Amino acid sequence: MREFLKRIFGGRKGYDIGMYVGREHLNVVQLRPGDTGPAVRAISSITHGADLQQVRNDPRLLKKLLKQAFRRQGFSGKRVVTCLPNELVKILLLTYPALPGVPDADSVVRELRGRVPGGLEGMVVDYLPVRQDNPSRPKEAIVAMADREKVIAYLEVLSSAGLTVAALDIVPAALARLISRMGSQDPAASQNLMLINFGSRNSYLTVVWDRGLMLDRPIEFGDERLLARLKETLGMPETAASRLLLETGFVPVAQRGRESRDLKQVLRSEFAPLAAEVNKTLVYTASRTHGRTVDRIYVTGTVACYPGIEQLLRELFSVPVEILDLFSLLPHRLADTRVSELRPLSGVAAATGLALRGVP
Amino acid sequence: MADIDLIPAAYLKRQLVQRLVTRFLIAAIAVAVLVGGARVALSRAIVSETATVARLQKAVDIYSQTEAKADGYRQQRRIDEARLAHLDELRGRDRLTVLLHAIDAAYSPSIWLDELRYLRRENLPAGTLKPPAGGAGSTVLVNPKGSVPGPGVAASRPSVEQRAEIVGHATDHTRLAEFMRSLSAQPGITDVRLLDTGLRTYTNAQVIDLSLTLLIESQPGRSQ
Repeated sequence: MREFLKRIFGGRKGYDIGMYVGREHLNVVQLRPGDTGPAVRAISSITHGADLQQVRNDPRLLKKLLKQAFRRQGFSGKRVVTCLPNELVKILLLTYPALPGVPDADSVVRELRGRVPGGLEGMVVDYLPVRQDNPSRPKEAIVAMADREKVIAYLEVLSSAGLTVAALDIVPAALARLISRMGSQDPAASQNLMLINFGSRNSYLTVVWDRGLMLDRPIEFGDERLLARLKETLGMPETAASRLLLETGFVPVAQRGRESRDLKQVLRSEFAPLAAEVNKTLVYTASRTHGRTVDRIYVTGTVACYPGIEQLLRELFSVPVEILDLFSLLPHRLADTRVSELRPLSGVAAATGLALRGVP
Repeated sequence: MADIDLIPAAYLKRQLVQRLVTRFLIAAIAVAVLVGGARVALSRAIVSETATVARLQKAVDIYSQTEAKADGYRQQRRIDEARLAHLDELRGRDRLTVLLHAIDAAYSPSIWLDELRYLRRENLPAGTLKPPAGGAGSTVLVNPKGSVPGPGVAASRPSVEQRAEIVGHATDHTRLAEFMRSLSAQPGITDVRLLDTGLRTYTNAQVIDLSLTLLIESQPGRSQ
């Protein structure tokens, strides 16, 4: 009876809304307590059709977009967890000495003062300690820094748009939170994971070690690179190349018919830098973890939508590859068509990771 | 897993203060609105109740005035009833009724009457009542007009004698004596006296003139 009353009156309220403003989409996700963990309460991703800077600087436009995104979706409240635009935040992996009796925060700040040329005046700094198994080695932390005035200006824009900002996170931490949830779904599964978040120009490698963020680094790889190669090699316009990638992808010729081209052969050379960066990261991870490496690689973003990409990446990497599918992680009531629309959007994954902040 | 939060602490503090101030202002405005609303409602209720009280007060005044008028009318009615009773008393209707009933009861065919005088006076004359000049018919005299007390004068209970004088004829003295006895036996009739009697001769027969007086009292059982 008590559980029933709790469920009726207080147990089903939504958590904070995760909001991620991408280059093309405004993504908002809200979770609710479910029977076996968090479930999707509402999710929306709308094309904002404007310049990203304009969306981030114009509270009226943002408010209008939010109204459009919230419409008919069942969102509750206006408290959001969001992240700073990439160009406003600087993320670095910092190694600092573990001094006895000195708090980590002081050590981080002291080390940062030595590294940042202009000093830390007027900056907002926060950090995530990286798990260190060997106490004799220097400690490491993922540090995020941003200009205070710009942070406050962004917060004011969000506030003027009618939002209450519960936290200002960073995308790697949000994605790490999401994939660490993926790992925790199966208790037998490992907790050491890598996420490749494919962007248009750059992609990001994020390593989660034992449910903690270990590494996040950008690499120069994106679908623009693939499209440029197709345009150059096959002499087709970019839109046609994009459609070819989305429709045909990297599915083997035998499965598609003789008339289709094998894009895998055409683009394999473009994936070489990606494979190199991933292998480099795996080596680094092994060096940090007494030779252990990640157990699985998740991929998300634009490139992850191409048919056959999973097989191609499996051929490239020695680690099992899986496309990140948050809808297999979180219970939802969405129609299949809606899920297939949302699944490829990496912004939705980021917003979901943000929405997972504070969720038990 | 620890989390990064890049919201500056000063901004958070400022937001908290703003939130608290906003909530306080909202609460203050809500209280002010509630108090104002309550005051308006109360004043409207007071105005409404005041109007009701005034209306009721007016109704009470009208009722009091009506009641006073009704009291006056009742008192006037009592006075008028007393006056009417006194007037009736003065008029002696009840005694006249007693007299007529007594005559009717005592009447016999051997007696016929010429005059019947009804007299109300404090001092009844002891002598014979002279019949009106030249008249031989029966006459009923009622109280003179001036003897009735005017309006507003408290009706007193004077000890007034009311008498009647009967002038007539009988075939013989025996019938006359029977008539007088019969009259005396009637309720409310006392003091039947023969004032005068004598013989008279008509064409071929002799009759007896009679003149008698009697005292009429109030009806039996009625106090005077």
